[in-house]
Amino acid sequence: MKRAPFVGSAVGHPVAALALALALLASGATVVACSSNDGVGQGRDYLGGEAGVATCPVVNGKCSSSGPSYAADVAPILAAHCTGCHGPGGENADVPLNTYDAATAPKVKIISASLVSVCKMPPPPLPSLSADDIATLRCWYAQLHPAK
Amino acid sequence: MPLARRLASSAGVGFLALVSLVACADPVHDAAVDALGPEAPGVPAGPDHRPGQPCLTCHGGQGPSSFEMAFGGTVFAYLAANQPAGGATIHLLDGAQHTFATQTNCAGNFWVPKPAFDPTYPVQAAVQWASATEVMRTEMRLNGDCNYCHVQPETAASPGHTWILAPSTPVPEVSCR
Repeated sequence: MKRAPFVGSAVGHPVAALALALALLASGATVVACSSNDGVGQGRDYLGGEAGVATCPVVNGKCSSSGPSYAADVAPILAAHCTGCHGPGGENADVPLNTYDAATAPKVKIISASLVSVCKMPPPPLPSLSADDIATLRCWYAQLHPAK
Repeated sequence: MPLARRLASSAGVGFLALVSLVACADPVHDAAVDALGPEAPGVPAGPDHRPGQPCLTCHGGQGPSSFEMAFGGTVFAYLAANQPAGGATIHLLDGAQHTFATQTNCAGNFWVPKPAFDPTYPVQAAVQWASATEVMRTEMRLNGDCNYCHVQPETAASPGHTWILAPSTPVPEVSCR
């Protein structure tokens, strides 16, 4: 009888054929496991998101002679965007912005307007203030005695 | 069957079997998946499952889930407790100045599917929950698997799970889904 090469004899040899069949079964099972689709997070209940591009608004224009008031114009901006960190319990509570006296402290007055104008504050990745909010804070801080 | 055809047939089948086995075998990844353990009782696999566990172990593109995330994690109310911060907003900013914002569900889990935001690293992150704000002090440079680094409890090797409130701050009333 002609002796065939080992590989070539696999098809005809019963033990080798069984081994091949087992290998095929195992590979098939592994393929199924690797591509399992368990349905987890398949879009359902995804709360969505908002994509965008970080920009810093360019703020020009003159400030009005009367100027913004703290209570009506400035405090809401600071509460919405700043006092989460610069307030009680915040990570920057040592530089508070949650009261009129705190917001008009000399050091704060010098720094705040410039940081806000170039969108260094709020710090990225927090959204920067709108052009109107930046203008309001800039004009308020520019006043010699910021109106309450 | 001629010898040449038998050879080709056997070798081809054997090669396919071998490739299939090798391609799907990653013992390191498999061990990481196994280490997550079973689902918690009463919480089936889904959006509310496994809060605090590294999401991208299964959802990072290597399986076993076919749903791939770019980011995933959990936000808790406090460092020292497991109360979730449902309805918190996550802000992301990548190296190309692209932003993405999403929210946590009532289990505190959030995720961003890969098609929605495929970032350029490094990525900065911040969390807001009502008036509370926390900005991540470091950047993400490797992947968006927040819970991979944010492991409870806080140790020298981990900052603890992601939290938003100082210990004395009351939990805000924020709706969540």
